[in-house]
Amino acid sequence: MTGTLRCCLWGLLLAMMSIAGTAAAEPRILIVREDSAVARQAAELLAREAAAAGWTSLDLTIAADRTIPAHAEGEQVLVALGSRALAAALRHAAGKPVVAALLAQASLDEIAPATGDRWSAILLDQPIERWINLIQTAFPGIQQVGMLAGPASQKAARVVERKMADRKLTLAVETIATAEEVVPAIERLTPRMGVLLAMPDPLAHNRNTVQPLLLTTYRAGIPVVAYSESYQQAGAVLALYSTVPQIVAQVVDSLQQVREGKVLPNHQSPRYFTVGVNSAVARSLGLTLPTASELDGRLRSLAQ
Amino acid sequence: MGVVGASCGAFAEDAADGTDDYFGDFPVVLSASRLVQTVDKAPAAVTVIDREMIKASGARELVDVFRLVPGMVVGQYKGHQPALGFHGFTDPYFRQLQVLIDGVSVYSPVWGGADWSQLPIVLEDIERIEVVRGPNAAAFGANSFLGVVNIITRDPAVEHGGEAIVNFGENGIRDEIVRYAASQGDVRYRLTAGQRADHGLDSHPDTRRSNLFNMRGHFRMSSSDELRWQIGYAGGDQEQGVYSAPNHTDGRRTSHYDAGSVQLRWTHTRDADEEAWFQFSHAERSHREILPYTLVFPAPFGSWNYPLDFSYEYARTDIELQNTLRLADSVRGVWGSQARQDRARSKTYFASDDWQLVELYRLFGNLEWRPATAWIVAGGAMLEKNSITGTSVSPSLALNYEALPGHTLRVRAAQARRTPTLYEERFDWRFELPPALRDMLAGMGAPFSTYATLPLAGSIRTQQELDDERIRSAELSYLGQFPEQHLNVELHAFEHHLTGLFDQYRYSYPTVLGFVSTDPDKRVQYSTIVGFDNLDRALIKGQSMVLRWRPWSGGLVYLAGSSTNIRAEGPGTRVIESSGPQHTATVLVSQALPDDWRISIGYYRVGTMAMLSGGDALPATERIDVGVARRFRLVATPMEVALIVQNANGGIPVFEVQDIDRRTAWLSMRIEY
Repeated sequence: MTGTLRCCLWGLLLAMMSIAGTAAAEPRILIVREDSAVARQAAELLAREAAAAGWTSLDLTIAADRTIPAHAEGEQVLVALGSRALAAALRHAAGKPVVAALLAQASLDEIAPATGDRWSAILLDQPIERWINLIQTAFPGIQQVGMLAGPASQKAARVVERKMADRKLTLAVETIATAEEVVPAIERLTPRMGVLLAMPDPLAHNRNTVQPLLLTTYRAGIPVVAYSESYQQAGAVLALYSTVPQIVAQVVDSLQQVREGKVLPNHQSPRYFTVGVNSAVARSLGLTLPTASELDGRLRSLAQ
Repeated sequence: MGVVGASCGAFAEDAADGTDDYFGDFPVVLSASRLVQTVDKAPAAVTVIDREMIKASGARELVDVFRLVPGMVVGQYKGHQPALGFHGFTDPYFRQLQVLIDGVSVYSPVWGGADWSQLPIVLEDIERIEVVRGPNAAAFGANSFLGVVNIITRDPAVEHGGEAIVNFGENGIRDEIVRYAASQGDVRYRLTAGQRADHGLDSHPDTRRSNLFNMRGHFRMSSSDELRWQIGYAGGDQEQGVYSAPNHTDGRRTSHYDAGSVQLRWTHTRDADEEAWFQFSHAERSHREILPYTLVFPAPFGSWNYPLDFSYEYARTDIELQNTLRLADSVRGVWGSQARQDRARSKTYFASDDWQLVELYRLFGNLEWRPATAWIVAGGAMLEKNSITGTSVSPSLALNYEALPGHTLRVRAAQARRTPTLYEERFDWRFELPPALRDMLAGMGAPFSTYATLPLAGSIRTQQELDDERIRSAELSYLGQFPEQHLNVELHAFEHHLTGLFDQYRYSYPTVLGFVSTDPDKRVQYSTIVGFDNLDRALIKGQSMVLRWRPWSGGLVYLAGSSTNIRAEGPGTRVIESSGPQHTATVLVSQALPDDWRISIGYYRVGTMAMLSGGDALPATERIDVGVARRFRLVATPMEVALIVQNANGGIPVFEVQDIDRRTAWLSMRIEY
């Protein structure tokens, strides 16, 4: 009797070990995301990249009530794409590490997750030092930068102002709340800026404001440095942004670090980035700029 | 290794997590057509007059700013009718220039040129004016003969709120203009309405009072499509004629005009380099002018009421399309086509109740190739077919070479044609006889149709088909930028070979009014009628220099000078050779002073000349315009007040020696609300 029991116990142990072994040999991530086109694109790319790195993934869209729908458990890491996805993932995580991406600092502040939880957010916001490097490399003589912000971005603007002051740049900020205010705000900024820095702010930069903003700065001969490829196409002379593949690459890096047992910081700046130049507008403004790859290389060689 | 996607509960696309900011889709704003080519990259010599220069010049009439273009002469025929000249051909009906407002030609099919004081826009509507100095048919279409004036109005996107402008001063100057711009989501628009009046020159009855209205609006249909519409109306009264004894054939009278236009353009922007647009425009103008006149015959034929009717009307309908594309990394192209119908009607000028029709079809293409960093090759051609002179091709080719950074040399060759205007080709200028007089003359056996000629000086009737006037032009330019000194310099030399220039010849035409003679031998009389023919040639050589300098903050110095030499052949030799000054000089200085004051002074010197179609030989003239302005706030309302004095140094003769454009001062007030 003892022999059969021992056999069964061994068998059970073996079975359990094999299950555990399977789990260890095929690490799983749970991708939690919203149902937007960008998140969908990122999730598909992430699944492919993660698979190449040895992870299997399960892609779930969060439900209307912001919860994660029922699924087979067993993931090691949750990847949240979007801030609402992050909030849902944190509620569900139960101690498992969460890597978040495709969210901005502002939306992270809204969720305000407790620090110290095992989560790390790869933000879309480029580090301010990188903006400054870009401006100083592309426009060496310029010392005055202008910015348009909505009322909610006042605090962020102060931070930018301080960091710029450290690098001998002055920042002039005008606050606007509606598209009508763009033109007078730019006109007030014009004598105090050599370049306009456009950082994301839904009130300051949207489909209605870009037209007066770009036309007025163009008329005043002031180049715009902006935060997306679409803005560059619209008429910004320079753009600094991270593409979805670049963000996904950083997510995969983070997954690797989790697998190696490293502790990730709560906030990560985008590591991989793209610089874009609108050469037609630059030429029309009479600017001679380095090429996009020259700027790219220079920014990479600098700390950020 | 599989991926399972489960979509439970969809979310709206615009997530509030900032991804929409980063990945949102913005419409292309600074597209190929919006970008202003810097003058050193342009394939032709261009003078850009921007808002700062318009303000500094103190101009009240649009044509006054053209004094800033080297080689251009601005005069007056009557208070409300300017005379223009460019490298010669100074004339009240200067028609060797194509004139466009936002890409739509306002070139008059009847007279040529533009009805300068009757346009539906005000100076405050203008973003900038690009004057191309030289023929450029390939880019701007028919009649871009000696040059092109391209007036670009402000996009409503750069304006907001309202402003009111009042000009009040000597010579009966009373202008009141109101403007308002707003945007609402995908629609933005601007409205301008106003009333303008002044007394014109002292030597003529040329008081005028005009009303105008215009609207420009944009509807953003999607990220890549936009619809733009423009509506304009101008109308008013203008005194005509001369001060004279009663019953003069050019006696004092008032004319009334109404002009309306509408324009729609649909633009599709693929990306910053590629754009296509389709445009429809329609304009109508009517001009009513009747001079009551009494024809006095020797007894016993008595006197007859014979109103002289100078009225006419015309309409233009036009559709155009244009496509800008990038053909390769270093090649950009534009091509387009146009179909236009002009029609005009006037009992007096065409001796007919019928509409005179002119059709025009145009196909054009332009290529810009940058084979290497410092080189630009730009070539283009226009193929035009019109119902007056048939088919023609107008090519142009330019080469820009940036020899050193900021220093460009340009060589250019171009050909263009000028189609005869209806005035030159189809006028049959006669005044319709009142029926009773006609019946009386018929009773006496006079052989005639409905109309009879009244011999007035300048009755026009061209007897044959006219060819186009032609120009072959070569130019050489140097453009230099000196950024350290905040200085831009342009040197320009050109040679125009003109052939087939229209000139007037005289011939005798029988007038049935001779029938009122009691002497049967004098029953058939002849009067001298004028017709046009391609009779003259000319060789025009000129040089010009332009300097733009910002010596210190708030200061602007603009210098322009030109030297022109005209050699002509044909019956019009003497008149053509003196139709423009040999030298012109322009100096414009503007300085911002502390406390939001600004002062500007313009000096314009024009050498001796005589206008092409009349007037006296005018002596060399010097004109000084001065303006002083201040911006301030009145209880938080931004305001600007300016005092402008034109001809501050005394008056100058403008057409005949007694037509003096005298010193005139007015106050201009602007309020934003």
